[in-house]
Amino acid sequence: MAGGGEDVTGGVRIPLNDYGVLGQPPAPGEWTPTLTVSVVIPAHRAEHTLPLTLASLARQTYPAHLTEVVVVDDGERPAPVTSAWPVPERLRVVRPRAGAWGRASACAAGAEAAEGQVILFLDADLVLFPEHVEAQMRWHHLADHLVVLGHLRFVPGLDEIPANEVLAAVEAGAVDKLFAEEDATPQWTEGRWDQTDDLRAAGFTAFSVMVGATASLPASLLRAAGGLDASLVLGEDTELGYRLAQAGAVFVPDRGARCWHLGRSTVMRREPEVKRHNWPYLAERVPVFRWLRRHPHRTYLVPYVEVVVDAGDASFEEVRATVDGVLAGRLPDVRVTVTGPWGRLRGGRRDPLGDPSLDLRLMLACYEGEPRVRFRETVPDDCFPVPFRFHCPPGWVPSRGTIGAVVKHADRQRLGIVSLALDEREDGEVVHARLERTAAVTRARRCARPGDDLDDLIHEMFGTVWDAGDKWGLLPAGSAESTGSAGGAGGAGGAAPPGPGRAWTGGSGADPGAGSGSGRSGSRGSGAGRLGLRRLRARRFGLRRFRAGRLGLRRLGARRFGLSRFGARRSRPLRRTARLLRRRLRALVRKDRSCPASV
Amino acid sequence: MRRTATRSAWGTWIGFESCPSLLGRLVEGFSGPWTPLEDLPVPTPSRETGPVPETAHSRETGPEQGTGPVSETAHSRETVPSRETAPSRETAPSRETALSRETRPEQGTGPVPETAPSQETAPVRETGSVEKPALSWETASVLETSSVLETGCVVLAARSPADLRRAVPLRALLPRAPRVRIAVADVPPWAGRPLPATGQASCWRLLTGLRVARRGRGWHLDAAFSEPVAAGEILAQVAYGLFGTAGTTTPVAGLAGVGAAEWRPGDANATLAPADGPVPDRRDAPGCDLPVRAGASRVPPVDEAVVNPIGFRPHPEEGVAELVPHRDGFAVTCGSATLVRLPPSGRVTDVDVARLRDVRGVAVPTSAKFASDGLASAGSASAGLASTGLAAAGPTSAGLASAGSAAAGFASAGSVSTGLASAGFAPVVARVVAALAAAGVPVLAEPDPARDEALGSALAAVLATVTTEALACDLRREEISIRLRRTALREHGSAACWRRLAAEAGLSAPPPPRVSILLCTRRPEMLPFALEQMERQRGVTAELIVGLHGFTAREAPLPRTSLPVTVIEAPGTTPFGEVLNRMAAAASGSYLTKVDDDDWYGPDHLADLLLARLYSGADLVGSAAEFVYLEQLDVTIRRCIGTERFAPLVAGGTMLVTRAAFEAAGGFRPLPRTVDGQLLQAVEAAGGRIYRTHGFGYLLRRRSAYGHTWRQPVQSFLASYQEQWRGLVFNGLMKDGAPWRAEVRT
Repeated sequence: MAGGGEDVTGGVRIPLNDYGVLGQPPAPGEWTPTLTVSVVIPAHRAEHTLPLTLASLARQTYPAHLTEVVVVDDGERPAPVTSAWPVPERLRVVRPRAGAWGRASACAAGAEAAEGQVILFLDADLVLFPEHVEAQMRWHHLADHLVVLGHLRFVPGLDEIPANEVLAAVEAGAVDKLFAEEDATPQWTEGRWDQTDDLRAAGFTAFSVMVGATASLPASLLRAAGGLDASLVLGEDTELGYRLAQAGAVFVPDRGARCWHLGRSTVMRREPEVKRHNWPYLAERVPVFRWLRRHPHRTYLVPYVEVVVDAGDASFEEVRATVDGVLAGRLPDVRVTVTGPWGRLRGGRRDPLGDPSLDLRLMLACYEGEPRVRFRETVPDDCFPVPFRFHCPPGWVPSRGTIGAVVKHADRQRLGIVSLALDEREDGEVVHARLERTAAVTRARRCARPGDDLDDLIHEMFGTVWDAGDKWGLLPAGSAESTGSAGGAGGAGGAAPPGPGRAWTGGSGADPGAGSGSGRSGSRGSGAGRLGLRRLRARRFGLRRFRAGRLGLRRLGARRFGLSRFGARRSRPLRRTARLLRRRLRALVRKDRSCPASV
Repeated sequence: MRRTATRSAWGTWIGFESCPSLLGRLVEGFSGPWTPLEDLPVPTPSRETGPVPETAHSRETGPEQGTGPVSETAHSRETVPSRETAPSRETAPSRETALSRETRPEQGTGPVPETAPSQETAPVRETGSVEKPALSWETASVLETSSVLETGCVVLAARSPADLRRAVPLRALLPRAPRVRIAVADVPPWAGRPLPATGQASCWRLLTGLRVARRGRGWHLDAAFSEPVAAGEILAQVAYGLFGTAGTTTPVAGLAGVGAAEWRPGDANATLAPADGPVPDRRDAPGCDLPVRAGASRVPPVDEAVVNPIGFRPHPEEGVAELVPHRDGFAVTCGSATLVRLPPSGRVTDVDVARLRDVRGVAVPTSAKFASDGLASAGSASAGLASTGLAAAGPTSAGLASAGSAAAGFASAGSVSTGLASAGFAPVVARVVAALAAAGVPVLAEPDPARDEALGSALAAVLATVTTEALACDLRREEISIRLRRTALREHGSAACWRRLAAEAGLSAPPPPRVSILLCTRRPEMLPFALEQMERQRGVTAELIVGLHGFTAREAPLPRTSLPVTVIEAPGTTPFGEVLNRMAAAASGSYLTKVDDDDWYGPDHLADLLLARLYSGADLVGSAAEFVYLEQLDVTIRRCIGTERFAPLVAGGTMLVTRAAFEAAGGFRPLPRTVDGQLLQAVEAAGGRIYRTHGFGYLLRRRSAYGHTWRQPVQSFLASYQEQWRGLVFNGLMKDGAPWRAEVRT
């Protein structure tokens, strides 16, 4: 299936969703198509409009020998397409698998049956302009990871306009005269096109305007994204768009690929009900719709961030400190994958305390009942469809806000990779944590040629940045260790890390006493000192440069939350204080910016 | 802190005259009359003294020309002493004695040789101002005596430190008085405090009281003496204290005509001459090496001690401002706000520059546009607009008043020379542009041949590269600013200007100061790289002192280089600081600079340091380690470090120190590490000043902490950065000049 166009389209590097780098696509009729296209039409109760769609498909400017049409008959009983009206040359009718029903499975069945290099999903109630297919197809000749969206206008249905009249217009090649463009209702997505310069500036959110009414994409891309989720009944196009985005797709709306949609869509007629239906499904599957995931504690089908902790030769305590830190974070929908040589562990008789693999066993034992933690020998190159992966070296503990803040930073700055330098080893290697954006990794791999460095490609298309870990609240377990050992364990051995779990769930309950108190107050004191310093620095630099100032403030917030971990009970009022403080500081920054700085 | 429009923003005499309340605020209780300092005619050296009759004569002539002032001064004399009665009345009896004993110390009234061969060789430099001043010998002599005569109190009011510096060459015109008050209305935030640097002057022995007080944004200095002292001497030393450097330059200048003081701001060693008279002689020596007559066709140089990049803001908050005509001068407006008003002469002071720090740039239209916009008095550039007012409260103020009226005539004569309509604007606009450029304010200028000719081709070429888009980006804006300031200071700075004048006059200038580069390395493999960095340096005279620490020249032969090289070898056990000291002992330059073997240096790095040393007057200058290449991460960052300011820390690989300060600090400490920081501390402890200039000529290479003497964890570099690039990235200034090898594999 990998067509001949690959050498042309393989290496194009499109930053974010800015497909402008591809240049202007050729005008219809002025280029030579080579790719084959399969038009997949799921048909359900479309006996009146489908013949019109097929008739307009028979009249396309795209070469007929490169086009096939697959109609998926999704009716309860097979309804053969029998029409006296014109149909495309290569037309097939397929049925979804027995028992499967709905638009998603119909599309999946159609895509499965399709043989073209590109798949164009069409609704069965569209009347296409003659260049509709060609306009979409010209993009696919430019790059191999584009999802092209057609331009759709809603017009009155067949109850208002006779089918014959429509047909006559199709036959006469005068589809555009059928309705006035300005009378027709635009699709809701068109507003987003307008706002984002036809999605060029849409960034990571471009996928959310993916609507399946008329959209085309390379079959290989569809396969890479895992095809359609047949378990969905509605909203499957949005979910597919999300996965395509994670597979590195770029979304291209083409205003030249025009068509009329006969009658109004379900979304237009019953929008609240559609949303009520779709949102629970999408909340489970589309983690970047953060507004659907407001719950503070629960988990979802697709987590937001996958945290990878490489056990390597780290101690149990180090791994536990890191994993506990992640699980205690304010971002609940994370998944922790601990990689290590788990297969080495055997069930045979062993010395319980002298086992060389004891640390690994303890790690396994520690999270037996925690569904968010899983153990793997290795992790794949990307964590598709999870949008982010965070590599955290064991022994480094993220504060409660760390991961969320880093992800937010990556979104705001539109970054593909955020690396946090933590420490420097004696051999010169820098210990670091790293946040990867799945969409960036997959797209880079798609664009990479032999010898290319993936990070270079990601930098070119998305941007990468290095930052300091402590700025984001990623601190060594040792710093928590000192407070903990001062608290309870006492002389249990300075080298032995404390129970981070205990620290998280509230040290006050577990080990009350003077030691604990002093340890806590001591650390708080130092924290406050640092806080003061930070604040000062934020004042010095931040006020001049807003970004730096914001960073500083966020750092400050993170720092406050880092402090709050010393007692879950107390954390709440402290958190509120921190929020107020942050808000006030922000207001201060704004005020300072609004009036010119004094000389 | 925006200035309201009602206050006169430029401190000319108009500002003072029309706004007596400003002066009233500056020096409370004194009600004038104020005399612009530059309006005081210079006494001719033609007469032998004979003080008494002349004074009598002056008392006759004085009232007929200015009766008003007399009464006013009489009035003021009553009001002023209310506070300082005690000193002035006490000193009154001693006045005569002082007068009789005084032999006019610096007012070289010796024989009048038609001296100065230079006067013939370098005659009237300024075309157009050869007209005979309306200044009679009588008045001049009156003035001479009046300048010797003491008054009760001399009050010198200046709008800015720049104006104070401009008054320094005119110091001989100030009378003697037992009380000297100096008021500066406005000082830029970075300026020093007007604390007199006492030096050797004998007048301080008579000091009975000194008060320096902050007044609004300015300062007020009030010094009382037991006997009358030369106010000019006090002025010179206050100016010296303000800027930290006497700033005398060769050759010794003779200044003639109104506005000539602008050619030698801050120079107490200049000799004043009447506009057409000969330059008075000094004791056993000609009065000057090079006389200069003020005029309009040639713009005065930029005073780099006050108009300079200090205080530059890399992230301005306002947009591009515009230079527009305003009354008979100029104004810089940003939106509806008028930031700065400039006098018709186009003089820019440090206070003006400080107010322009927050704009992204200044757009300058063509000078033809100014002409068409119609400034009423086209190009009255050289009209004697003085921003220093001299007030004398005492019996001789009548003489001063008469002098003022004479000077007015002179000013009107001066405007004759420059009354050439639009062509007259080009030099003035060029002067404004040069000053702004020297201050690092990016100038967005429309091409204008006349102005560009006045600016010189080099500065015009840099100006032509400035675009609005470039100014929109902070990084590129700073690059532009550095290019502009570099060229402007080198072309229009007073040091460069006098060097050029001297060369034109055929005087032999002292050779430019030599910089000794101390390059010490433990890694023979880094030698070619480091030498290449130093060989790229342009615009300086340099020698290279290479320290081979732990290996010998036989083991690692030095690559060929065009610089004179001295090699010092030291065993690896010798502490680093000691090796550096041995290298410094072998150095012959008047400046020492330490460079690192693995960092990148831009081609103008040393030249920029020297320039910074020139305008800051600091004892040690250095760059900020603003740009850092983190080798392990393959990332170049720009850190948040404030530059163009006096600061205690500079990058160790960029320190440039005068030999005097180096020796005063006792050299490097014989330690294996942190010798840089220790030197900085020692220089500061020895009373030296440290200035940190921009970091665009330096890229620090940060290697693994375990391979270097300097251990700062890599994450600390990332804790506060403002920009970041992937890979090894050089800014535009590093890439200037010939292509060179950026990468080195070691």
